[in-house]
Amino acid sequence: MIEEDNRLVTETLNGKIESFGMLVKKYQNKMYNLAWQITRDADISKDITQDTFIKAYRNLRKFDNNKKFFSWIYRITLNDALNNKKHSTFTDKLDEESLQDISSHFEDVEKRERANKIQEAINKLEGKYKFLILLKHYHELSYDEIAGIMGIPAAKVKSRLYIARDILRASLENIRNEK
Amino acid sequence: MKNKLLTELTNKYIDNLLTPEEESTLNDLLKDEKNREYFNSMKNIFTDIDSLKPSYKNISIQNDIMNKILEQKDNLNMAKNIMNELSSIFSGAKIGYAITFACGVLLTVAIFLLQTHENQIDDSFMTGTISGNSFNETYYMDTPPLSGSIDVKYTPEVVIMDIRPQTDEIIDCNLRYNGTLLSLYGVKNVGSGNNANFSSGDNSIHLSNVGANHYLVFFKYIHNNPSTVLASFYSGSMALSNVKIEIKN
Repeated sequence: MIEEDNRLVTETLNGKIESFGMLVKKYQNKMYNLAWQITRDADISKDITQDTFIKAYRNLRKFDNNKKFFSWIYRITLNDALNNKKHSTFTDKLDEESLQDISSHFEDVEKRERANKIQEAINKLEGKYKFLILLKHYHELSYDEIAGIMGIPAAKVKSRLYIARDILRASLENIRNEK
Repeated sequence: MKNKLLTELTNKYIDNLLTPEEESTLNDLLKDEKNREYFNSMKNIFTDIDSLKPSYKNISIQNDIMNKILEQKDNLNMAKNIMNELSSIFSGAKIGYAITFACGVLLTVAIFLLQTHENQIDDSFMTGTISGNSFNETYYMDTPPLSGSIDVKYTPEVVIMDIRPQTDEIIDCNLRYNGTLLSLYGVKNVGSGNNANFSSGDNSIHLSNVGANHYLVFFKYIHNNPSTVLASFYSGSMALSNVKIEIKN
């Protein structure tokens, strides 16, 4: 999969622009969802996704093709989304609309209640921990992939995620006790 | 109290990375009721998270993106063609040099005109600034997990701050100052990291990716009074460290 991406990058650099189109097709949803989970705004997320690929195309010659294209564009999207969000803050609680968006998929009242509590606890996490939970459990990325995106060693990703999970567990217990 | 091994094995269980030996060790640990309670609560939470994850939204903006890329490529090709045409019209070495010189002059003027006032730095203030040992004061960020320093140099007209956190993470810095005592004279990035940009407004300056970049911030005195600048460092939106810089004047 990674080798295929690098092949497409090489082909794009050799003038075959359709190959870049294939990369866009492959990753547009992942980038959009990452942006959306940070900004919670469909239009802004679309713009960020577009900008990510345009920036990637413009800077493709600077990209080290021994590395993962996927990590590179993830990082571009992440930076843009966080920059966009920095004034309203990533650690803000989700608004009611966003909560409904997540929980409305569950007809079962109990399940919806659980989804709300989990989202509430995730919202209470510090940014760096919340982001790890997001990448690991929502985006299902490996430690190495997260390390590549965040620019920190995989061992650090792992130890931080362990802390994040413990905090999340404690936070959920508190929420349960409060209610 | 749960032990480190239980934490490690529980997390490996959640990640589905347990070896058969580790599974057996975990089962032994789970004979203890407290351990079992911890393990089960973690297991349930992350089973829930995995099953209750938000719906994945699908978009199809591939065509929009590719159209924009092609449009830019066409513009670039058009510019190249114009240059080629011009070259063929004005053939000959001397005229070529003349055109190159004229383009250079135009480009220089354009860059000069496009510079904002805030970016116009008198480089004479920088003489020796980043050569080390030329600062008057150093403020340290020693709040874990962030370390590094802000070096401050005073000149008769300008205060220079050299922002130097030691981190490989993407962190931003926000500087707040009293606009009645100081004015922003300029920001200069002398580093070479990615995503180097800065913005200013409302008596504050935002510097992006300060770990990989190397920013010098220049303030001018408005009044000869002591003042303070508050430097806040963020990872995403999480505050990592605050450093209060006393401008002695």
